[in-house]
This record gives sequence, C-alpha cells and structure tokens, in this order.
Amino acid sequence: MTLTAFCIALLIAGAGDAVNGGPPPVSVHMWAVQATQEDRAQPHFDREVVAIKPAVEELPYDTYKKVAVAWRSAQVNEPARLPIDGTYTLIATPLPDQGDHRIRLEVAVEMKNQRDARGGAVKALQTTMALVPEKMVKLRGFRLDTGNELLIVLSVER
Amino acid sequence: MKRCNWEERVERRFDGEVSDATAVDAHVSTCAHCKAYLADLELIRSVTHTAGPVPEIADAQFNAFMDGVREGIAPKPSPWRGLWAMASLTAAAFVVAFSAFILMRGETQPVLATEIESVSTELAGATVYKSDDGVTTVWVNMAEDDLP
Repeated sequence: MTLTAFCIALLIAGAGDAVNGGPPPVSVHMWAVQATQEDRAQPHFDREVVAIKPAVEELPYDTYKKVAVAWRSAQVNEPARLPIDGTYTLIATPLPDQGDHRIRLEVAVEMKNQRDARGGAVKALQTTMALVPEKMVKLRGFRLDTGNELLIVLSVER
Repeated sequence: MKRCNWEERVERRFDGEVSDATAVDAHVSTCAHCKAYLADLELIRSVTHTAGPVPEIADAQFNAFMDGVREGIAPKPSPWRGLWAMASLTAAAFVVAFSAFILMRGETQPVLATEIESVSTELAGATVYKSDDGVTTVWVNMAEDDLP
C-alpha cells in the first residue's frame, strides 16, 4: 500500500462519524452491593463485583455482597432503567456531550415508597455528571432493609 | 615470424619516401616476409580509406559536442520519475490535511476529571453532597424516616 492510499484510508475512516450521524450509544455499567464490616482478615468481594475493588479500597467495609450487576446501552436522551432490588431502580440518561471527551449522564435513583399503596416512587437521588469514560463513580448512603448500606458504583463508556 | 631488416625500407617505399625503389621492389619479390608485410600495409590502407573522412570539430562546436557526450554517458531519467514525485507531493498533502483534520476535531485535548454538575434529592430530611477521595462520590444522607 502506498502512503497516499494509507492517508486516504485514514481520512475515510475519520469521516465515518460525520457520515453516520449521531454519536455512538453510551454503555452504562452498574454494580450495586451491600457493604458491611465483618472484621475479616481479608476483604471479601462476591465474584460478580470484584471489578469495583479499586474504587472502594478506602471505605470502612470489608465485605461487599452483590445486590445487582447490570449493563445497558442507551442513546443520548434515552433513559436506561437498571433495577437494583424491590426498592431501588437506577435510571441513567446519556446527555449531549460538550466536546470534552467526557460522557454526560443524568442519573436518578428511584426509591419505592413502601407506605404508598399506589406504589409511588421518589427520587432519592438525582444528579448530572460529566464522567471520564471507564472511570468509576460511587453513589453512597442508600439503605437496605437490612439496615446496611447500599453502595452503587457506575462506569460509562462509548 | 622472424623480422626482416628491410621492413623499414619497405614502409618508406610504401609511403613513397625512398629513392632506391627498384632495390626495395627487387627485395620484396624475393623475400616472403617483406611481401607479406607489404600486403598487410596495403590491406590497412584500403580499410582506412573505406572508413570515410573524419569530421573535424571546430572550437565553437566543442561545447555542444561535449554536451552530447555527457547526455550519452549520464543515465536516462526514468519515465516514472515525475509520477513518483507527484505521488509523494499528494501523500504529503494528505498527511498535512489529516493532521489539520485531527487537530480541528480536538483529538489532542487532555482528558478531564469526572465532574458532578448537579445533585439533589426528593427525600424529606435527606441531604446530598459530593466528595472526591480519589473516586468521585455522591452521598445521600437519609433520615431514619426515609428507610424503605
């Protein structure tokens, strides 16, 4: 292949985004765990949640049990629902990015109101984030019916 | 073949430069060596005459003559030479254009840190805040009444 042909191939590949139209969908990864302190010699992670280990090293817990692990792909402005348990649901909506290589995401954690006979839900958390792709972010402070903390770890990529 | 002492006189006779032509002719008629030598001289002269006159090069023509010699010696340029030059220029232009394309797309911008743009809660009595202990964190401080 000559250098000219190589350059033409690169230009065609680069122009692909413009031809295809919108940005690629955003992949949202969620790990929801019950975090507890059980005085273990070594921290314990359920097999499905080992990936979050680097993100939780500093927390005062030594046991991380899987509550839910989910992955969804969503287009911009398209909400993706990721159920956690009978009480909580995470809703992630990719937003138009601002050209800085971060992925903007609106995240809501809905909590079912057990006292509401109609099964209504409130947004226990609503936040808008500009996330570095593949870098984890933690959502903390939610409570499980066991009284333990529900820790949610998110990661996004295109 | 053994040489004959008469060779020089045969040469001068051949060139018409001797006075004793009769004596030389008499010797040649009896000497096989000189007869053969005279035959060789006549052959050389005849061949030389068939080659035709050698043109003389005047001083004014000398530079043009040497240019012709040089053209004959120098390697002839490849007919593809121009094409390769054009291809190289085109390739260079594509490289420049592609670099500009990448720069204008902002591909070289550094990756920024995760940022929490807004955070809120609908839970009564709860507070929310964000922190960054190496991993960006959003906290919800739920009141006891907010237990599910």
